[in-house]
Order: sequence, then structure tokens, then C-alpha cells
Amino acid sequence: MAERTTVLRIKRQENPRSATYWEEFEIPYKANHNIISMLMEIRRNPVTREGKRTTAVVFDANCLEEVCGSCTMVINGRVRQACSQLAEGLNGTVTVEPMSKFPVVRDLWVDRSKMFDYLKKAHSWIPIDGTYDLGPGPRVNPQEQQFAYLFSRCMTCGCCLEACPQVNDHSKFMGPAIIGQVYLMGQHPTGAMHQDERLQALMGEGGIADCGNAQNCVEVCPKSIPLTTAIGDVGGQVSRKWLRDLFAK
Amino acid sequence: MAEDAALATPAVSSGMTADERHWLLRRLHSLSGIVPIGGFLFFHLFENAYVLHGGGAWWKETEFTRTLPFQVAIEALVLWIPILFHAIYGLVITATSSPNVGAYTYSRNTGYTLQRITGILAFLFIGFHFFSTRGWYYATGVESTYARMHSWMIDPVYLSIYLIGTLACVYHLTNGIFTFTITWGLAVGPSAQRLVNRACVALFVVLAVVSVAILVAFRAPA
Ligand code: HEM
Ligand code: SF4
Ligand code: SF4
Ligand code: FES
Repeated sequence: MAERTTVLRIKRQENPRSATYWEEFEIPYKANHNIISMLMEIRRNPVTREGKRTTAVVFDANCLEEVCGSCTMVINGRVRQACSQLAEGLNGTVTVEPMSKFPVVRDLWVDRSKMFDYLKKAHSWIPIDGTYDLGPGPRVNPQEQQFAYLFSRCMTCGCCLEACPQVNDHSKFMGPAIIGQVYLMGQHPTGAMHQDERLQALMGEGGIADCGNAQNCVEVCPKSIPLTTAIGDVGGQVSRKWLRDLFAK
Repeated sequence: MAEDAALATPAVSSGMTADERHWLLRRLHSLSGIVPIGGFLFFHLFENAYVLHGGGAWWKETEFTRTLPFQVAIEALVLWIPILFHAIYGLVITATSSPNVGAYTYSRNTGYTLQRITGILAFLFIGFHFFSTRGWYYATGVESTYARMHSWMIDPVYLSIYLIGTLACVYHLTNGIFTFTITWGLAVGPSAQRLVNRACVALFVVLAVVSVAILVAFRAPA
């Protein structure tokens, strides 16, 4: 009986400016193999299916348990974490590509730093440092805490940006993740005190008005974050702030 | 010193920032789709539905839309300017999209793509429809009588153009009502959005049936 194998067809790129090319690798099946462990096999022995010696495929990964978000790739045309994609359940040739909405550093490794810039731009934190002890914050009821917890699981992986038809190189849209985080910061009574600054940051070009309600984001988010609920709610918040400013200033 | 700063009247910035302009344009685009354009589409289907009572009734009941005081000013303010704005800015928005229904085959993603396709179809159809009816009247004085409309609707080519054009407009409006409720934060959670979506699909079916019935009714000889 022929040995069971998995064929990975990988989209490669030497550096951010060079052309892309494809290479295929055949990896013997092992129980519990996932895309990252298979990429590690390739790193150990970078020989293509045709027997040609090549460079090791570069990729990003850290936690190996779908909580850090760094190994996000497009596998068989759909974005997801590579570390949680088991070889089990994959048939035929598996295509592995870097995300298309982020600059490629090399091979499957992309630079997601724009998502972190958006967090800074939209003040996605709660300022509590001061010259004196501010004391305990207001109490939040457990239901609200639980709903907020869903949003706090965002790992800035970029799946939602990759799947969003409004995020691309000819639009400035920052994507849904930041809208989820602005929702999270604003639902907390202490965070709410600075919510206007965050809403202001989401008003401009690239902000929430550029969402086209395709709702792919909520479908692909590996943490099942209710992004479309945040989009609806924050859309209302920005609208109300705008109307308030329009008539009260 | 700090106190002075606190007591000083806040600087009132004059003029709009680029961000505020962007927001305003997006909100006006969203709003104009409902009022006046969406509102007019409802009214337009309603007035033309009189053709179901015969060509005579239709011509009589639509009389007042041809004899408004300040006719041109009203048409420009309520129709031409809003539609031109919504259409042109809609094309600008469409140009920033990168549809991916092939890879992500969710029903909402299909709706997103159809919203853009029907927008382009509506743009072409409304242009054609306006210039061949009202525009033609302003240019040549030829009125869009029952006989004229009838002669078009019995022509399979015209009928097909009208079927595709009106159904595209009706889809675009009903799907747009759904996204409008999200845009303005009226339907927030998934079950509220599911409910509104179902209502909009039902509305699409009703308006589609009414539109087809109107077009077909024009095929009856005068
Ligand atoms: C029959 C005439 C039309 C009606 C009744 C109409 C109505 C609407 C409505 C209600 C919306 C939803 C707004 C929202 O989501 O907040 C919308 C969105 C849109 N319309 Fe129209 N529209 C019409 C014509 C057009 C035309 C001619 C175009 C040009 C291509 C167009 C392009 C768009 C686009 C791209 C959107 C999506 C905007 C977004 O999601 O950000 N529309 N329209
Ligand atoms: S709803 Fe659609 S357009 Fe809006 S952020 Fe999500 S995927 Fe993008
Ligand atoms: S919202 Fe979900 S898909 Fe988007 S970055 Fe956060 S975890 Fe990833
Ligand atoms: S390595 Fe952290 S999510 Fe895959």
C-alpha cells in the first residue's frame, strides 16, 4: 500500500518586492499533523515534490493553539489559522498562500502591523494611569461582562480583514477588528468616558462608514466575535455623536 | 494659567475636516437611497399600478405628476440631484470594493455583491428610462402616452430591458433598506438583523410581483 501523504502547494515570494512562484511539497502523513508542523517538516528538509532542493518556506507562528493569531494564512482559498488546520480532513493538494490584504515579508509571513496602528489610531485602550489612585472602577453587571469578554478574545489575526471585500489596496477601510475593539472599550463605564475620541477616529475615511455590510467578517472570525453586532452598535454611536455635535455645537 | 485655559471659550473650528466631509457624504448617500429615492420608487410603482385599471385610468391618475407647480424645480430637487448624487457616489463606493463571493459564498456576501451589480444596472436603466420618457418630453415635447409605452412593452427587447431594470432597482432598494438599518444602528444584533432581512426579502417579492404586473399590463391594447 502506498504511503499516505499530504501535498502542500505553497505560494512563495523571496522578498516584499519580488515575484511570486509556487512550489509543491509532499509530506508523509503523521497523526495530528497540522499545516504548521508540516511547514516545520519542510524546514527540516526543504526538498520539493520533484526532488529539487530549495530554501525553507518562511512562516510566522507562535502559540500553536489558535490564540496568538500570527499563523493566519489562506488555506484552500479560505483564511484561517494554519496551526489549527489538521492534515486529517484535508484531501488532495492543499494550497497555502499568505494573506492578500497585508504586505508579504517573505513566503507565508505577512506584516500585520497596520492592525496595531489602527488600535493606536482609535485609542483602543482605557487610560487609568494618573498621579493618584483613581480607586476602583464602577461595577459592571455579569451579563455585560460576558458579552464584553467575547470581544476581548480578538487576537488581531487579520482573518476578518482578509475576508472583507471592502478592505483592499484601493480602499482605506481599516476593517472590522478595530470596530469590535472600539465597541469593547466603549461598553465599559470607565472606557466610555473616552469613547468620543474613538468614535471620532472611526468617522473619517477608512472608518466605519466604509463597511459595506457583506458580513464575511463575522463568518470567518475564528474567535466567533460578534463583529456585525459591534458594527451596528458603533454605527449608531457614531451617528448619534455626529447628530449631537451637529445640533449642539 | 491652567485655569485660564479651562475658562477660555473652546475654539470653534470653521469649515469641515476631510474626515467630517467623508462621513457626511457616506451618510447622505445612505439617507438619499431611502429618502427621497426609495420613497419615490414606492410612489412610482404605486402611480403606475393604475395601469391595472386600464390605460385610461393610468393616464388620468398620473395627470398631476405632469402638471406640478414648479415642475422642473421639484423634479430637480426631489429626483435628479439626489439620484445623480447617489448614483455617482455609489459608483465611487463600488470602485473601492473587491468582491469575493467565489471564495466566501455566504448569503450576505452575495447580497453585498448584488447591491453593487444592481446599482450599476439601476444607473444604466434609470438613465435610459429618464432620457426616453421625461427627458424626451423636455427635448421634443413628445409625451409618454399609453400608446407609446404599450408599443415598447410589446417589443421583447424593450420589455426585457424594463424587466431587468425594474427588478434591479427593486432588489437594490429592498436590500438597501436592510443595510440602512445596520448603517444607522437600528438593527444591531443578529436576530434583529435576521428579522429585518426576512422582512426585506418579503418586500422584494411583493415589489417584484407588482413591477412585473405593471409592465405586463402595458401590453394590453388600449
Ligand atoms: C432606484 C434607485 C436607487 C435606490 C432606490 C437606491 C437605494 C439605496 C439604498 C436604500 C441603499 C442603502 C444605504 C445603506 O446601506 O445605508 C443603497 C446603497 C447603495 N447604492 Fe443605491 N439606490 C439607487 C440607485 C443606485 C445607483 C444608480 C447606484 C450606482 C451604482 C447605487 C449604488 C449604491 C451602492 C454602491 C450602495 C452601497 C453603499 C454601501 O454599502 O456603503 N444606487 N442604495
Ligand atoms: S460587514 Fe462586510 S464590509 Fe463590513 S467589515 Fe464585515 S466583512 Fe467588511
Ligand atoms: S476580530 Fe476575529 S478575525 Fe478579526 S482580528 Fe480579531 S480574532 Fe481575528
Ligand atoms: S500559531 Fe498562534 S494562532 Fe496559530
